[in-house]
Amino acid sequence: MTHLLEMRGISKSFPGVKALSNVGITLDRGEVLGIVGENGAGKSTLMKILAGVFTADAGALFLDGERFAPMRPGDSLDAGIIVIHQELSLVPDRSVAENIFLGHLPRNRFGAVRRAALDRAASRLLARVGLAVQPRTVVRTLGIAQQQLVEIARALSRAARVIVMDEPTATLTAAEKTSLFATIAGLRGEGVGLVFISHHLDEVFALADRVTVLRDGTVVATRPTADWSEAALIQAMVNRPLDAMFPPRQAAPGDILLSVENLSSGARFEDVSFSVRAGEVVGLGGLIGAGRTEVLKTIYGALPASAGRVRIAGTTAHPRTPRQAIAAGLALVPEDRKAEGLVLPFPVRSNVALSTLSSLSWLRMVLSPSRIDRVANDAVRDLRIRTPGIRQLVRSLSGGNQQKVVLARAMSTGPRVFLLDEPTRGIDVGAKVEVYRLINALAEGGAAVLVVSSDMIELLGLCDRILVMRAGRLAGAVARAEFSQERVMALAALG
Amino acid sequence: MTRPASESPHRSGAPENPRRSGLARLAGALNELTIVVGLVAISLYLAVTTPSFLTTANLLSILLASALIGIVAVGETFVIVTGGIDLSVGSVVAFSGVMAGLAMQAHLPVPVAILIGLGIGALSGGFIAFAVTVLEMSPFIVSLAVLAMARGLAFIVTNGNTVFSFPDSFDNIGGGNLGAFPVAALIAAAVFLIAGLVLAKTVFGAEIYAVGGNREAARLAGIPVGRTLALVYVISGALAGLGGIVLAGRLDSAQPIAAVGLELNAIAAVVIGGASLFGGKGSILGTLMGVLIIGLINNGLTLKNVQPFWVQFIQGAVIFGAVLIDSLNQKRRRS
Ligand SMILES: Nc1ncnc2c1ncn2[C@@H]1O[C@H](COP(=O)(O)OP(=O)(O)OP(=O)(O)O)[C@@H](O)[C@H]1O
Ligand SMILES: [Mg+2]
Repeated sequence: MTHLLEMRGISKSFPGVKALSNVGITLDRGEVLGIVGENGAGKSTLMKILAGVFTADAGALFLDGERFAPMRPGDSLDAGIIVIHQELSLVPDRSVAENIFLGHLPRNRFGAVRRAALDRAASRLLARVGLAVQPRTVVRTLGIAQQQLVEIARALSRAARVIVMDEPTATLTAAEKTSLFATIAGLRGEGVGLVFISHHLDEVFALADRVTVLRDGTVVATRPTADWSEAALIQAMVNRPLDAMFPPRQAAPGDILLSVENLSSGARFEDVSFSVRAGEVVGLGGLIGAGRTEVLKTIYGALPASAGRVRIAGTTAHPRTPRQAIAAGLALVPEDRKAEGLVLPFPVRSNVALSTLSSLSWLRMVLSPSRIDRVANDAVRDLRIRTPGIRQLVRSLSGGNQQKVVLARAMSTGPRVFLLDEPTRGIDVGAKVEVYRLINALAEGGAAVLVVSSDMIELLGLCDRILVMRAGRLAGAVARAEFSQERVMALAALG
Repeated sequence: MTRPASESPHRSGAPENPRRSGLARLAGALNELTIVVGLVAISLYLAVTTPSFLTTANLLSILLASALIGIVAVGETFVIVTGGIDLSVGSVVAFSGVMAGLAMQAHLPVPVAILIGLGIGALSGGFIAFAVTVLEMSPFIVSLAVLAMARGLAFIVTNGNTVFSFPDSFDNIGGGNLGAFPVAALIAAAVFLIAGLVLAKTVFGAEIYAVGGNREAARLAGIPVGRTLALVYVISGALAGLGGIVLAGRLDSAQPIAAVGLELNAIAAVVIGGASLFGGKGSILGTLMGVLIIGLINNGLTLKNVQPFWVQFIQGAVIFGAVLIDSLNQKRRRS
């Protein structure tokens, strides 16, 4: 029997990097193929070749046994291949419904968009992916996880034969994941072939029929999921033994460094109070839309506070702008690295140095290229950022490596209070452990760390305490001794 | 971040798909080298076909015309790299010129008149800066309004008349020579040099690129976005003021109708020089080459006795072409 899709002997080079060499995968009808691998292993590149974004240097694609050579994204779309890219591609100022049907909006005889029909069709798709927003909502106002669900709804709006999801669950919460998984099960029943790329191995195990491991642009192995153990999968991915996922931390809580008192920000959240001590790692959990990102941004001065205040030990500052926040010793790793964390068309070195330009200069005015180079090279080495060099444009780094650049930038100002919004979004297992180690080192060095994460395992493994938010309010706190998924979920969903 | 402009995305960005449109590929190939080649090609063509091209008088007039466009285009480069635009510069040249002229008619000393001219320019820029940063208005609309207001004020203060006969010390700024070189060209050279260093080598320059490259990321990284934006408009206005003084000195008169459409020449020069109207990209060296290209084209059209109406049309077409290349490049990078 011919495969639904076969990619055979695919190679692809970029200037300075061999992203793929002689890679082969197959996909059958109704099958879910999992692809895993470290940041920069070549997963997204392989899928971009399938999507017609890049052309392969060598190799061939077959669709239902027939040679298929997509030259541009339109070719793949026409063939029923839908790739949901890791980096979102929605039009922020249009409605959810319009985004879902972008390129094939339902029109009437006169060419005008049929609003009612559009909204009805969009509502159906939104229900299918389990996203509870109105079709007329403007995409800009949605969180990143909700935007991801809109992308998935968009894929469902076309007659698909192959659907590729490049890290669709990067930030989804449990409930959203459940409905996404149900959607995937439905599609598989309809005979659609799915490629599922994720750094969350538990999801790969739950969904995939077979798993392919990519490492440094080559296929290490492809096996039925049942033949993989988690340890074997990680071993194949990183090619080095990986000890504890959450390394132990030796940090005794010290003085209160950050205290938030009755903080409110308009309709975003209300009356939030808590404090974080030196050496403490505090989690901020809750469902998407509970207001966690907004709390972080308000503390950081990036959103206006309407009531309450923020105290930072050792200063009387009440930061009203990010600049003041940084001066007061705060650092933020924003949730959306592409829109808020990076200047994509700039090289790695400029991005790493963005917050410390004056201190990397003579007389705080004239840039010192050698100092910038040194800081950037150190960051690349310390965080193991995979890049051909510090002059590489951040745009061309893999998603996980981009995230590390943002982390490096945040750490560069020597802050004492870290506000981390989904710090391991899109980061591979090996790198995750590195980030956890880094967070530990920060805490052991006397920093206070506040982490927002939708990854429950991460919060439970990493934090000393978890604050849970629900609908714009602090619903409660869970101490380490009482940690359990059920406790946190109960607070997040019911109170 | 010493030379973001020279790390232009065409070189290290994603290789494109071969079947993508020919136009887009052409645009990708246009880089600094092509600008130089274009510059040389136009010069050679004019030198060969037009005997009067390679005369001292003609070359001098190109230099003087380019000095004015250049001074203004430098300010425009700062603005465009932040992702903004300043349409007011032509009118501000006229307004600053007549104000400096009126000051001298009122027998104020020349240095004071110069300060008034520069100050008027900086104030106009400051007005745009205020509207853009504090009122969060679109720079396109605000500077369009200032284009009309400054021109109107230039007519109001002069009653529509030309202001003339200035002290020689003032006229020397625009028309005099220092050794073998016209003073105006030397001023422009100094402006280019200083601006080039500021944009490429200083913290302020790096902040300008960052604000244009991704304003939100820059803000969250602690870059003073408002201050940076405000400064570029003030700088652009002040340089337009300087342009007004140079022009008034060269003509020994200041007219309220002077420098109409100069902003288009300046913007075209900046975009031809490789800057992107989407922000984050551009360089002073590129603008210098863009200015020379515009200067040569304008000169060639005059030498070849092309009808003034066609001159307008061709200048418009050149701008269209430059902006088209910019947006094709942008599209190529996004996909
Ligand atoms: N447009 C590009 N230009 C240059 N290099 C690129 C480009 N796109 C990808 N690369 C490089 O190719 C390699 C593979 O990248 P890819 O994005 O496929 O990794 P990935 O497996 O998807 O990683 P992640 O898990 O971080 O998303 C990386 O080294 C990356 O830097
Ligand atoms: Mg990827």
